[in-house]
Amino acid sequence: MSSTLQIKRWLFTTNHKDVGILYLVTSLYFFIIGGTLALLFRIQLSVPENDFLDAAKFNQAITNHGLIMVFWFISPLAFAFANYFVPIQIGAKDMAFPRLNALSYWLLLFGGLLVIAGFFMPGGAADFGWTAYAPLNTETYTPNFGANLTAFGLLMLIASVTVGTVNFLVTIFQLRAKGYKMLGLPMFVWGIFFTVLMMLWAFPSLQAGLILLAADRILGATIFEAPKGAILWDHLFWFFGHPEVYIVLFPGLALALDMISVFSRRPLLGRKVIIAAFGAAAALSFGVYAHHMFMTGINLQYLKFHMFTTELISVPFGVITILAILSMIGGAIKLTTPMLFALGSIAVFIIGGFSGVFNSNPVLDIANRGSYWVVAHFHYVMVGAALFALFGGLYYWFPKMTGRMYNETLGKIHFIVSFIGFNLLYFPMFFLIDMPRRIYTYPEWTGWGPLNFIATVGGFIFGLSHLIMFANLLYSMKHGPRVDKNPWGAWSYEWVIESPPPEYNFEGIPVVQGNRLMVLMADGAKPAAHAHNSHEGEHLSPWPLLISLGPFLFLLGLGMWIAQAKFALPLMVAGAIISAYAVYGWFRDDFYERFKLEEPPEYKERWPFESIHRVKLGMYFFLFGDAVFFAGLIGAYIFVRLEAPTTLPGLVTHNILLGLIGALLMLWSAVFMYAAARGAKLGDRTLTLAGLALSIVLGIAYLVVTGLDWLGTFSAGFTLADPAIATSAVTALSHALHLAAGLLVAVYLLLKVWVRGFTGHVPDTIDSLAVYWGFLAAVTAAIFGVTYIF
Amino acid sequence: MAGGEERIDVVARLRERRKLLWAVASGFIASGLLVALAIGAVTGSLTGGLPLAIAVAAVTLYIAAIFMDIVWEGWGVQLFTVITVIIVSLLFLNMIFGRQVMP
Repeated sequence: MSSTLQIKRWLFTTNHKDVGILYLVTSLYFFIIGGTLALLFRIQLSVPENDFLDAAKFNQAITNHGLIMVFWFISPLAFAFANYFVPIQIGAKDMAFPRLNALSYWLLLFGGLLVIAGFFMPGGAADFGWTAYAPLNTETYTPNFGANLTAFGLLMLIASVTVGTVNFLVTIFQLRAKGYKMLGLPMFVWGIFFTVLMMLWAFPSLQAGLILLAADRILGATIFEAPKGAILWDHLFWFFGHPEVYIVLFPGLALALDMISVFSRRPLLGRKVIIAAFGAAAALSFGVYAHHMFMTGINLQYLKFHMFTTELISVPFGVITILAILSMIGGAIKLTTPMLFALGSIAVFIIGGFSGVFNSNPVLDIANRGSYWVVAHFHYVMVGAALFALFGGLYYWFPKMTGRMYNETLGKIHFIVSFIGFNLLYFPMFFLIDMPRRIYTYPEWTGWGPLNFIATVGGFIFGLSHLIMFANLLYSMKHGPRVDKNPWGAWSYEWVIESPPPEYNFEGIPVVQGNRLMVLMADGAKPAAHAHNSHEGEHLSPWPLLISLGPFLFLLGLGMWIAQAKFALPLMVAGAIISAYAVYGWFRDDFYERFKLEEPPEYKERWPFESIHRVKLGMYFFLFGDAVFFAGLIGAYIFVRLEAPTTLPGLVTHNILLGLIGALLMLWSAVFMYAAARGAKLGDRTLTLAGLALSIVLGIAYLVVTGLDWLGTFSAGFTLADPAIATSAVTALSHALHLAAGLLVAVYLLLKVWVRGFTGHVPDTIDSLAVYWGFLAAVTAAIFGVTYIF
Repeated sequence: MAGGEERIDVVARLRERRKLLWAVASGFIASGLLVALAIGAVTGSLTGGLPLAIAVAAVTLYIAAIFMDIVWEGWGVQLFTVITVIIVSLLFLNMIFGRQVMP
């Protein structure tokens, strides 16, 4: 392939394996950045009264180290493997929505670049810690303009996560090979399944918090600066933040279990119990988060409830760990590099897990909170357990991805050096239980110097040890000995196919019978090249890249404009033009149905969603997450009103008649959209066109009426400085933007039905849009009921 | 078309028509509920507390159940809907009860 085609391939690819490799390279790139930041602040802390970094630079380094490692390294590394291997492991030829998969990647990359761009803004990057506690995160206390880019970057990341989550859920539920039951899936797929479920319901809460923060920082609102605003941020952040710990942990832990099983030559003991334990931990993760708020003076009964659930959540993890160890008993254990990393992961997870249980007790938590004990605890869980397993996965799957074997001796040396370095780095921190976190230096008389010095030495050993891995894998990619398709004698289905896997994974129809995967016959699933469509069948589409690049440039320009930097406006204009062009291009491709890659539903296992189209199922998953987003916004309004009962209710600040008319308009817009969907299913073109047109008209009327109502509110003298007005305004604006996006799709569908009739997936797309409209009508009722009446 | 397939087609079409009739009827029912909410607010009988919370939740869930097609979907979608409602309730309950009462 020529170099031009190679560049085109990597920029425009939508193939799940290519996207997986893009995730892999990107995550390792961010690992180097995040790791370098860590080494910088470890140098600063290595000796007392050091001046290697000043306080401002130190705060920026720890903040961005945390953000980059959590959001742009560990999870993307897990999703590199998930993208590459989940479709193969379940017997699919690609993800359910290949273009959305590429979009997910580009949004992630550009989000990360926005955060890094923050370093070059006046005042520097964000420096409020990865938790961005309020009111520290507001403009008053963090005037750094880079903090705005951090908020924008995180919003792009959440968009990426949302798209990815929906895609993985639909893929796992609807693209399994015929006969492949859910319980038979590899543990890694189960890990990813529970991870995306937590992502689905956790990230929208952070999204709500960030949107409100953006209102504070950009529009002059004071939601988080108001009294008790800090507690509001805590709720929105930790409702996401605690599940996030498991989001980071689950893929690696599940992968470690698979590797333990393969290299012990034994099936996992209590496999179904382990799956149930993962499920229990995922469910409980939403009910334990207030242990991060034990010192905020929250209600005692509420505190005790969260103490109980926090202690409870250690049970499923204990079950998983014990069963992992018991699975090895009697096995023919092979201490290969992946196995060593898997065992290392379980070992450090036990230390990390035990050190966390202490903190579930509020009394001990008050003693330990904000100390290096906590730093050691969460690094043992989030870094040790997750990272060791994922690096093990890199060695485990390297032969499958490249067709070549790495150097086993160097792999083992990497494990030994990194394991020693890791423990040298973090174990001394347990003894620094009296040293506060987030201080950039300390006096000599504290006696913290020697342990900090040891930790810094460990940090360098740990950081530099990975150079062995990079050298080993890069060399072996070209010069490693060739291996057959299953060098480990593993059981999951990626090992049935060639190494590296062919473009469409299976040259026929994959079917599972009696725990064996068979490829029955060539089904011609590769779409034939089309005269007007160069990318069909080649997995190429420029729109995912451009749809991400546009908002990146726009948000970068916006951040620069707020900072009054040069070239801001041209960047914003260029971003807006690229965004509009990319959306047009995406729609144009859909209009002419240029991008199709589907496996016939009758060849797939689709339990428990047999009768539902994948687009509609994806829409449901998206809306289940979106419900949490609006709940976060409406909940913020309720919180503000409860904390400040003297603020005026919506009944006074709004015109209730206009509110009612707006709610009725939106409701009937949904009725007509529903009618359009029924018309499409019945093949009734007139009903569909009339339904779509009326729905669009009423939707626009709703926007006009709501706009008039808000004009009235602002002209009556109410401003965003009132947190109740600000939270309800942000809620209304978010809803309006949702509707505007929906109107765009509705106009497109109207045109398509008008010009081309019911071709392709049009009936199912209209059906999915009707579900979206129904959701917006329900949210309108909630907004009317809460922000207009309460 | 074979007889069996014809029958499936007719059943599917009847189902779509029934869904449409229910949606139109629900449009009127939900409109009535929204008007009732507004009257309750204006008369001062529904301006806060548990009755308002229950009333708003009921109207929202009713509209969602009908117009998001949830009542007509299989148990998988309905189960995910219930889990979502539980998680949303958890977020609300945490924000309502997890408030600062001590310094």
